[in-house]
Amino acid sequence: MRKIITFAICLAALVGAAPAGAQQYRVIVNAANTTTTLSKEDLARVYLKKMSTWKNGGSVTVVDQAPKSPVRAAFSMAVLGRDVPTMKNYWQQSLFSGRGVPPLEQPTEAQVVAFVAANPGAIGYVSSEAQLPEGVKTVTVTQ
Amino acid sequence: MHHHNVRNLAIAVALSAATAGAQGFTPQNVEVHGFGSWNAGATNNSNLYLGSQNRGSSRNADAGFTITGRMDEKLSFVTQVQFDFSGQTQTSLDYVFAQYDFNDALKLRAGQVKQPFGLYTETIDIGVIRPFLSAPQAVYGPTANIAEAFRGIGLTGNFKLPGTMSMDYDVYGGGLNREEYEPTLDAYRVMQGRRTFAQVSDGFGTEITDQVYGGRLMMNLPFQGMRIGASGYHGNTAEFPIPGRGDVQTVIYSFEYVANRVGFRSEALREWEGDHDRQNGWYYEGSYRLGGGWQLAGLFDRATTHTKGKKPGCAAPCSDLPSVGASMLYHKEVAGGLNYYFSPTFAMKASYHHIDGNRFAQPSRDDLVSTLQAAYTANPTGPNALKPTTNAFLLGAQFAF
Repeated sequence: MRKIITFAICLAALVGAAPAGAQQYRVIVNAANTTTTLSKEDLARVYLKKMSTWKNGGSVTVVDQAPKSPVRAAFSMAVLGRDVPTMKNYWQQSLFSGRGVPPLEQPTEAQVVAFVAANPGAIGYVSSEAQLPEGVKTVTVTQ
Repeated sequence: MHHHNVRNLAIAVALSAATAGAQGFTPQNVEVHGFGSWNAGATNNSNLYLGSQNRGSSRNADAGFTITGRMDEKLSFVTQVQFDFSGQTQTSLDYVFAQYDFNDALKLRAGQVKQPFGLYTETIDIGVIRPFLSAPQAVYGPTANIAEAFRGIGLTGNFKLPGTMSMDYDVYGGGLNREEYEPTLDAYRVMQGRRTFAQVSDGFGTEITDQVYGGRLMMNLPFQGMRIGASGYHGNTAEFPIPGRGDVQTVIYSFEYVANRVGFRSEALREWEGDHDRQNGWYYEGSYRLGGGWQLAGLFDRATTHTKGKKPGCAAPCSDLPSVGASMLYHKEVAGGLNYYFSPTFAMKASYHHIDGNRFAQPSRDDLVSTLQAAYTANPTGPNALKPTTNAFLLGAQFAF
């Protein structure tokens, strides 16, 4: 056990923490959601489906962008610390161990926005230059 | 895993899910996912290893599907059916359980539930998510260390720890069917005077283990993708109904780090069965993504079995083991692999394995018995009659969607 822990520390030191990345995305929720800020840590827990309720008590519905979307790649690295293929592997592990299915994917950014606008508990992310309609709002992500 | 024919049950489960869908589920509520694996291999001698044999083999093939459904915000179900195409097609119902979510930290599971044990037990059939075609044999080999599922009730959940860490936990109780393929251990017991050659098993057997309680704690460390933990269970196996001799205890320590290019896992296991058998196993398994879909993989895998007993005519305590089959009690493996991922869900894998020991690389049951019978009868303290060193090459494909 001691060897495993020592190895873990050495490996972590060698590989280093995940790069922060520039903010190439905006996190959006339904306009009726009272949440205005989320820590990056809680955002990661939401997207790993380890935090399934909002602080006001409603259920969280997570929506992802398409697998090849550049904004998904940026979001995955910045928030989850892993690239999209690695997260695919993570979700397969979770799915087949009966612990949760991956977030719903929407093929286009417009559909992500439309989904969030239509579902009060939904959370999604869009590119920083995306135009947002009235039914959604941006959430500030803190470190 | 039982290999009873439960096709009708599987169909019934699938139909009930579909019916439920027709009665009001939206398409997001029921999801069907599938997986499959095929591999062929060859060894450089008469030993078999992971389905490979001297002239090559293509008999390892299986596939299955998983249905997950959510009845409402709190209640969900999971079922998994597997088809084994090695020889005559067999169908098995791997899991069927319901889960009620009180909150993220407390979820109740009941039915035939995936056993939370180590890193790979819950996904033992899903090859595409690991670097080699098979999970490391020292821990996940057919020595009844693990059961794919427990029958009973369990609690699971996740909670935050200080900083950026979190903890996943499981506790459960019920019964286990622990699968084993143990002709080498049986043959070794022949030499200890505890079996006859006629009693050496042919094919897979199941150790039904009841009065089981167990659990797993996995701590997610501040580095994304890194976790460390321990799992274990205690039970009573029906193989030894004598009081005090049927106790089974297994514990495993696990470490995993999966980053974008690098993957590393290590586990160490110890199992006690009564006062007569003890098994140790540990491995290091690493992988590195080269880019363009290519991945390199490496494995160091070790297992030893200690079994009490004595040779006929040897005064107790008798510690001198029969040398004629001593290699049947250990497994030392070094393996290297090259994988190509067409996508994260479909991979071709090739691997070379150098194995010392006959714990898992062994002749067929009949060859094993005839070889040992001849050698042991002629000279019980003679040299090892088996070929302890095996080189195996495996090629296969795996997918999951």
